[in-house]
Amino acid sequence: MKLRLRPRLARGMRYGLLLVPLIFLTVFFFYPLASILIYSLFADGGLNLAGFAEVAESAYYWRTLEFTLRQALYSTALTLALALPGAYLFTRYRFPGRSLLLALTALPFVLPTVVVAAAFSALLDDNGLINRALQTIFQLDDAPLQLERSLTAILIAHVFYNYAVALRIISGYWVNQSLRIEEAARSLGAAGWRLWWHVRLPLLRPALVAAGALVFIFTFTSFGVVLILGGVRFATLEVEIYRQAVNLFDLPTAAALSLIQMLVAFALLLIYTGFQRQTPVDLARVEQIARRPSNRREEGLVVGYVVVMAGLIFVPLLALIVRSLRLDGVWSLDNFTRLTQNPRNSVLFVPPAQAIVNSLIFAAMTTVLAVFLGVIAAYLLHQRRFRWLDPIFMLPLAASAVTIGFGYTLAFADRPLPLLTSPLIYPLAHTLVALPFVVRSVLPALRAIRPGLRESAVVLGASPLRIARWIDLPLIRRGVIVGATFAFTVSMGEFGASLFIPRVDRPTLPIAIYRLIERPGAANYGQAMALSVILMLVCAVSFAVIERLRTPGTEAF
Amino acid sequence: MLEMRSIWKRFGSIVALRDLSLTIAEGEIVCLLGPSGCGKTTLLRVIAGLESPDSGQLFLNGQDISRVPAHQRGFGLMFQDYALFPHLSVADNIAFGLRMQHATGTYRRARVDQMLALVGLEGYSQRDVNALSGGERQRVALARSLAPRPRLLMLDEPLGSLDAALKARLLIDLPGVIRALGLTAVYVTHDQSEALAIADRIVLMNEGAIVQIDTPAALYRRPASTFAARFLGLNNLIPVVSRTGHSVHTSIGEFEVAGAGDTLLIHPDGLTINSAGTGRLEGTIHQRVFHGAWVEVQVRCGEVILTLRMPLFGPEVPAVGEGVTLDVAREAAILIAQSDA
Repeated sequence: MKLRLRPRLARGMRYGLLLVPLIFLTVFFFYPLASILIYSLFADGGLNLAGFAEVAESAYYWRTLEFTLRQALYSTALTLALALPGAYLFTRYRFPGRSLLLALTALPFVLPTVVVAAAFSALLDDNGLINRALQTIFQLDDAPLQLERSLTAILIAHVFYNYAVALRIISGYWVNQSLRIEEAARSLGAAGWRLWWHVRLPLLRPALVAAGALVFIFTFTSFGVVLILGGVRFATLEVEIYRQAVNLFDLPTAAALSLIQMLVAFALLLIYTGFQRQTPVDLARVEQIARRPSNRREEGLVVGYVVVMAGLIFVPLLALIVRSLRLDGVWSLDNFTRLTQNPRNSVLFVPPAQAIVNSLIFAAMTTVLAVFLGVIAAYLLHQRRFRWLDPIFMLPLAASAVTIGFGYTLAFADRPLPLLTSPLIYPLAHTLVALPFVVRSVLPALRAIRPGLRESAVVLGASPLRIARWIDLPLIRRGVIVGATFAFTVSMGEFGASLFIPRVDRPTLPIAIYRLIERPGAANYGQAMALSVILMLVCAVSFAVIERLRTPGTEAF
Repeated sequence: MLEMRSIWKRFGSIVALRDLSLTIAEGEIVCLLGPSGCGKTTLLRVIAGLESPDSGQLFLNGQDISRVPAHQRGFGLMFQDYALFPHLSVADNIAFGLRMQHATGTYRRARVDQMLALVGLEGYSQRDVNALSGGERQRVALARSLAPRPRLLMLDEPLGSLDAALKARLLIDLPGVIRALGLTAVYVTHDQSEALAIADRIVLMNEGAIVQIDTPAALYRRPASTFAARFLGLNNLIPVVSRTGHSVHTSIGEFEVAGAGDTLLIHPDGLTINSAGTGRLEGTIHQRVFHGAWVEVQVRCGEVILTLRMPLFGPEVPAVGEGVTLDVAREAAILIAQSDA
């Protein structure tokens, strides 16, 4: 009896453990989303569509929706226009520093929205690096470029953010296309624009649509960049949800807007998954196809593009560093040293440095929790019969941070789970956002383990638990470290959801940056820059870890 | 020692093993031979415990082990692609099974050295398994499956991915090692020459069932069916038209043969060209294929094409189209049964 019970108990515990990530997802993702749905439809007990009626009748909200779609469309078009020639150059030409540059293009992807917004603010606003430079050169009194609170600033920041995503999808697809099709077309007389129009672009269509759809989703749900660089004048749906919920406390309207936003985002995600191809970047193939630029014209193209691209990536970050070191017109480290002080009229209730400590603590908790749940979830999804759960674990990526944050204010304000006022709500929300990243880092590593290895171990006497200990864990170690680093970075930079959490006494680093940047005064601005630089450095280190350890060809997206 | 009783295994609509029974004796090397998809690897995995049969039992020394999980069976299995653990050194790979048995560190180290000496890889213990050549990997895999002293060693196409020269050497070395240790072994292969060289007994399989069990010599000399003959490369198969007593009539003449069956097999190795032109079969040279050590000669006799082999340094091979006569050695012609397929 004892002999028969024990394996059953062990198996029962294994299945119980596999349920934990699903329970987490239900409580911290589906329950808040359901809360929004219920609130938007049944605000006062009965069916109440007042929120929708108000939204539908108001020209203002139609304009907001129109603007949200328009800016996403512009951003997507600009991103693709820049990424397409980039993908061409990176797949066709070999030049010094190429692989380093390719790796660095992914840097913006791990930078928090607040840092990106701060960087472009530092570069483009009236006191920004560009205006200052122009003023000095042309002896002007006023800022010549009015980019503060402008659509242009938003679009440039969006391109900065999404360029690498588009570049990787397109070049990944391109590398796997046979070059011979193109050679056949050439031999039949196609050249120049006709080669692009009749051969290259049609061949690339699935990649262009997939990249376009993904960038459109990202920019459609973009929050931090629009909020900081656009202000009230350029409110997107996301910003409007935040404004209605937090500033105006009009929860039915916020709920109605959230629902609309979610529906559009999920529809876009369906389009994306329809066109997405699993196209790992095959570096060996790139090496085969790529060649040195063979004439002056090609050299010029490569050099010109590299300069533009490096400029796009590094100039804003440089501006951020420069502005963090300037106070009242002189070079100074005061922005950094004053972070530990807590002046009387501060917008924060604590010294800014406390926000760094808060963020580090929350990020550490998030990392532990997300890795624990993510590794179990990856184990679950790794089994063939649970494969269908895969898209469900990816859903938090499609839901915007603002929707999640808003859902939390509805779901966790009261019983049965009054978590909203607990500091634990930060790591819980961050874990939800980080979970897909961990799963996406661990799952490919787990799938790469050949079944023969486990079977050899079994035959050599290893029980299921010892297989996990001796075979699986050592082999997915790198994936777990990458996932942990992602989780840490996501938590350090999370902005949209955290902004809804009413713990003003426990600001995270991005929240502190936002509050400081919104307040007038050079001192506040300088400190915001200093905090952004610190956050940027933390994320850059994480990025280096991820790039070093990631198995080639296991792109997360 | 090991007995399988009416084992069935289905994968969806495909029957991988149908009512299969087999007994393996202590210290014997048994080869499971057959075309791909015949169920030989499935049978191996059932023995190992990696697949559980739909019905039927497995006995080890009289004890029913059908429900014993794979990791408690104490068998050794060497995979086709070796499945070496890429994150462990050569020594740690070999010591893995011992570690699972909670063997002491001293014993593990001693046993690893012993195994390395056995397979001729002294000094390799700290090597990275990913940097080994195919032959070295094969030997590490063998050492790994032997280290825990398995009661039964199973080998799944162990020479499959090696080049011809290495294969030829290991065909001599491998059975030597197995016999020296007195192991019982089950060896899976689709290559008849491997099976003939290594096995004490060959179990020929087709479509999930056993076609014939015999010693290599008996199987090769007297395949029981046209399937067995064709699989061994014996293609001189002539339908019997009628028979009277010990004499059977075919389209190429009469033959005195014992036994039963409706097809006549003439061993290619028992056919020779009669240089005087007085052989009992007449034909013309249809085709010649050079194989190195021998030349395969196809001779057309009426409707039938007969294959024979001529040694490289023997008599001159006649030209295509030339008329020849053939001698048939005694016992080279036998009667076998026509297979269904």
